[in-house]
Amino acid sequence: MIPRTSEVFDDLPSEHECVLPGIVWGSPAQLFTPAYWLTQCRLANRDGRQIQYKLGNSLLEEMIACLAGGYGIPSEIGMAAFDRIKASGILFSSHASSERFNRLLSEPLQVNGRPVLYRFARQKAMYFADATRFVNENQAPTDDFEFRNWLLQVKGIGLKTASWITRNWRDSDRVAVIDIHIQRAGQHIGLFKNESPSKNYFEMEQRFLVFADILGARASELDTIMWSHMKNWGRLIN
Amino acid sequence: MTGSGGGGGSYGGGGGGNDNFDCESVNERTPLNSVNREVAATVKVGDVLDVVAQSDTGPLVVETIDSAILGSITSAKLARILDCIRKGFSFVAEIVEVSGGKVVIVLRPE
Repeated sequence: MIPRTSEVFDDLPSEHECVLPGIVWGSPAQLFTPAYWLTQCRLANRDGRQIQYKLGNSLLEEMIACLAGGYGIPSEIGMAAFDRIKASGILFSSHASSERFNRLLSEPLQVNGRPVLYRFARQKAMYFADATRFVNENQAPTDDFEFRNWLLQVKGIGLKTASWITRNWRDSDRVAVIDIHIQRAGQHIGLFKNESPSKNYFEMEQRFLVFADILGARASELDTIMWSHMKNWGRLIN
Repeated sequence: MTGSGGGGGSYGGGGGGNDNFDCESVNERTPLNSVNREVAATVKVGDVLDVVAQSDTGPLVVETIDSAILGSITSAKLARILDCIRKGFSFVAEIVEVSGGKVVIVLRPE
């Protein structure tokens, strides 16, 4: 489907107008400007490509999928680890031990046709076992923020991972996943300064949510598109 | 192995991810953005024009033989195409529709 120009571009403000104080819209034809992000969100929706981010078929699967990433583990490897865990059937067991998870994670994974060792297998196995126990023993809150705070009780889950699971599982636009790619995208346009999500998560998240709101984009979709584009092509601004 | 290895963040199943994009097989029909109406009045369907990246991050513009800018390309594949150009591929734009300020092109390898 060819988007009509008028539907996607014509209501964009002038390149030189500010979307937020000190942040200009820029051109939709220039990578990683606010106008670019808005246009890409619109194009993604208009092309009928549903913007998907959910990874699991159950809350536990979602938690394992998200826990499998992080710590500098490339997403392909995290997903390969999750796929193996899921295929093993271990997540259907209420007594999945860290030893069983560790055995599954210690064998090389096949990533893009090559064997790859999963880093931190023993530590991640402990996290997976704790997540399994936690989900089986506790009832998840229904409010997004309470849900995120609830997840923080699981070993290995910090604010970023808790936000990620909340965004994915609850389809939430009330939280944002401020990881390195979103941080770089935000720094590129001046939304973030030289600050770290490990120290300023809530402030950075709030700014991201305001930015999404002004763009008129769903925070969850903007976050997903930003992450994907920065991961794949963020090197173009280096 | 691909991926930045950065924060291992919010990956999901969509949103324009790494899809083994083949630069040689680009055949992208897309409207131009910021069309210069005066330049548009000088082109016709079937014309094949140059596609020029003004920097690694764009904009990606379509130029006439006189180096007049007809408009810019704002496609869902913009980042992929700019990455292809950075790798040494070059592209042309064939005009398939012209109507006042609206111009639609097909982008393909040169």
